[in-house]
Amino acid sequence: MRPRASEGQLAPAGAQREDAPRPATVALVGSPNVGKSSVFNPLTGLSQHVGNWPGKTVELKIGLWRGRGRTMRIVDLPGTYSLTANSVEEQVTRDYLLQERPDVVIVVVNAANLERTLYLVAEALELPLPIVVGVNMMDVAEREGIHVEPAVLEAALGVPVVPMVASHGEGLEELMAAVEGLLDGDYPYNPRHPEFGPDLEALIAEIDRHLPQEGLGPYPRRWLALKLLEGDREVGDLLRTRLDAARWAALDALLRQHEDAVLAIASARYEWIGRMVRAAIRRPKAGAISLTERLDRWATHPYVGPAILATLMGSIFWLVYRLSQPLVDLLGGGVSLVADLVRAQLAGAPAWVGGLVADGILGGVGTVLTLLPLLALFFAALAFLEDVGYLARGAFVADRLMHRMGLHGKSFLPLFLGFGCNVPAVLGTRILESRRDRLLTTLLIPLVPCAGRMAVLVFITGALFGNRGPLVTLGVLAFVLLTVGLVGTLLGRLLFPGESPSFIMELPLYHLPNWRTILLHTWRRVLDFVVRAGTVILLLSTAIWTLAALPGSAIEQSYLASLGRLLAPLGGLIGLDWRMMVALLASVVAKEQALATMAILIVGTEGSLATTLPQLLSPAAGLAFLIVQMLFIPCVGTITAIVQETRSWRWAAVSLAYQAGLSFGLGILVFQVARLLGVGV
Amino acid sequence: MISPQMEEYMEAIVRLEERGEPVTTSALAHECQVAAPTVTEMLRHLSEHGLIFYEPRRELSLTPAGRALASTVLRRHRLWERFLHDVLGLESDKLHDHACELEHATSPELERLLARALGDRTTCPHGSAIPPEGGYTAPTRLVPLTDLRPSWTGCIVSIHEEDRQLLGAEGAEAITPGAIVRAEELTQPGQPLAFTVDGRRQLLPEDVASRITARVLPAEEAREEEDDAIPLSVLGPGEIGIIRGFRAGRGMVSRCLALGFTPGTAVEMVQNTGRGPVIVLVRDTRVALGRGEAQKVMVVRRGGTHASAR
Repeated sequence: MRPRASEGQLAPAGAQREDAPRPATVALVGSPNVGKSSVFNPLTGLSQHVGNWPGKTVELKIGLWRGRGRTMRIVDLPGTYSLTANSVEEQVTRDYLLQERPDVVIVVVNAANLERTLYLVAEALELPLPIVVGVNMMDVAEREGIHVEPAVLEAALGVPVVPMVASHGEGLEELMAAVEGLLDGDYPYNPRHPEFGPDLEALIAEIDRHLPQEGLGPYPRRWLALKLLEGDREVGDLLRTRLDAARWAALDALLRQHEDAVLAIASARYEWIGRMVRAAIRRPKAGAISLTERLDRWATHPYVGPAILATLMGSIFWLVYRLSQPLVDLLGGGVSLVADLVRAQLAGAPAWVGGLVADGILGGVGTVLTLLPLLALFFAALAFLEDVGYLARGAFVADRLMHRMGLHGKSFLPLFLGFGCNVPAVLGTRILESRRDRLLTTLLIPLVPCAGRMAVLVFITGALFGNRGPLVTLGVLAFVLLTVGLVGTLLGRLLFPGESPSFIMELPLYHLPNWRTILLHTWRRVLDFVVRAGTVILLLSTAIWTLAALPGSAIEQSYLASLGRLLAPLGGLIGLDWRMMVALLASVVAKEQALATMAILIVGTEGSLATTLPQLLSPAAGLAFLIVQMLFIPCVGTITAIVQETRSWRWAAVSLAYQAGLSFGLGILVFQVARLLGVGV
Repeated sequence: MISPQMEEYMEAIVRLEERGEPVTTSALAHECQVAAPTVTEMLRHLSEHGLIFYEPRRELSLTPAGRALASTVLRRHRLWERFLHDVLGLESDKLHDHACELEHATSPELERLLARALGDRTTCPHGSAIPPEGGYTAPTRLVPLTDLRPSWTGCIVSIHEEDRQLLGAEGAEAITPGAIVRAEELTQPGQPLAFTVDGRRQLLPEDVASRITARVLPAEEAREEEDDAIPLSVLGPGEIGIIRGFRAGRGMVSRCLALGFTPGTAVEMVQNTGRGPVIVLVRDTRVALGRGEAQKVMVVRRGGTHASAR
């Protein structure tokens, strides 16, 4: 179906040598909200790194576990509810399991949600792989009045079952001991399988007769038959290529005739699970109102819910900026100190060398460094909200608004983060489950006015419109937000016609935060950003510095200025001269850079930017400039973040192209309409 | 509880249907002599009670439970008109208003006694049919042939004379009022549409088909509605529904099944404010569903429908 992942991509670098025995590979799977990462993190600690499944934008986290003189490779697969290929995550998980054939699969289930999370176990049991079931969150279940007896479950499943409270490290030892028991053949492994009843079994046998005898690769026949009946498109496509037209038509007709089989199969699995669960669960406190129920009365309340969401987001914003500002200042000061030192050291060399190192390269380093505290705090805040279970509630509350723009409720959080800085917002789209929602949100975020653009907006409206400045600011903001809404609606229809965001989301039980998981997650994401995005930001900002500094020493004679002059005719349509175009181009380094560039280019020896600007810009041109500026192509950091998240330059290019078009289009519209009406010219 | 006002609206909906008029908000506003926003509010209310399928800006339709309620009200109305006219000798122009008052205060027992007292009268004094007891009238939904869904069966009601000429001798003979017509699978846009008329395949140009009206035969429509199933989205907080099936594409069905929404499973509505997403409890898990998604999950109310609970 797809090429086998090469070892180089999935093996930890340098972990193996030719002569060393190959460490056993253990795959970790589970539905979302079972606390899988609180199992993976303590087992692998800081040894983890990120791998990619070829061709997919989904990450596999890989780490090493060492204990009792043994080393194992643990692969954390994406959280999935089932193994039918509905989403990229599900495809990657099952392709990995079937193509890589890990030595043992650990399926993590949630004790407080045993019935539903065992569904994945029922599916995994149909694969030819040894399984260990980890029943996590035993403490949460007890609090909800659910008592699980793992021994009963083990007897019913015929596979090792380990009770765990992974967030406190309980049960991890036992889990790995069970894995070793399977590897060494010490455990009497005798898995039971879901029973489908005579009708379905006869149907499965009939499908099997339609399958080709050979050429099915790593896929077990029975599993293929089940997935065909479940309407799995990817498996359908596989068989279409393996069968000649007539035989495929016969199989297809048979499948069409039994379209309802998917319901029967899922029902049979759940029935089988239900019998086990009834035997393995006791509910001493039946009927008690749980903590989750009490909290949700407020968190999802039609009026109180939005207020809680707004308050939470507001406080996070305040806290993040409050906490990060001193660090940002400190880091910024440090970088300029180093820059001064370097300049002094390079005093003998040609001026451009000093400039390149001190301003270009160190400037780029500064951009990356000053982003880090902000990113770390935002990641931590998002991880916290997700870990305690609030994220899903926030998404629920925001869904009505987001739905109108064709987005998923969860898109609200990254979009909102965008008001601070677009970079963590783009990186935060990872909380979204479907690729469609991730891409759409990613393309919309750069339109959200970040702090840098807000600074430019407030300054220019103040300089140009005096008393009416705040009013114009609000007007421009309203215009921009309206544009975000319209573009969201249009982009969804244009890029993903026929797909509407499907909003089916589990609301997990609330529980106390697991700081270790949150910190490790934050650390990994920040590190990831430094490694992947850091170098790109450095290169891009050095390149732009070079454009601004060469060939002459003054910016007026630079390549950037020439580019600005080249764009002057376009600027003419909005009433802007080449200097304002250069300011726009400079804003790509960082949005607030527009002001600094204007100051250099426009202000002579006398006066300040605030007093010179009104002489240069008519109100109409100023308004048009602001519109363009607010919607102009994303800054270097955001572009890099888009590349990092979508794993392609293509979407970054789409973003650049459409925003360039959109911003100038609307800018021209505003200026020309104002001119026709004779307002503010 | 179903209020007299709700019964009035349900009655108005079947009256419109009976006359073959489209059931829209403005038609209802005219029929009930109220303002359109009032109607919209009431329609949402009726939809919450599982009596109608309603989406803004779409033609609404009755749920099986709603149809049973509406035709019962209409039956009582017309029985009273008959009684007031035949037995009490009330003038024709006063019949409607009095019947409107009385119909809501009529118990099933009184309804039976009235019917018995009137003998076998099957029409009201204005000549309209009195719906039979048991509450289910054959829906006389008139649609253009182009709207006849594949697998539905219809009975041709009218065809323009000019269109008959266009069809040629053989076609004109087949396509006459009373002919039983069934839509074949969809053809390419621009191509003639295929129908089976009295057992023989006929091709009709789209514009001609759009001018031919047919009555949708109730059995077929009822089969589409899957007995008493209502969308999950009409359940009120605390109400429990048993899942029957889905009216959705493969992807959503698969996702729902994995989350435990299998046929026969009980789903409890936790939060439903009438707009925006809902929260349900299924297999001990709280799940948020968008309104659109909740409309595609079909359930049967546990404890019976409103019509049987009345």
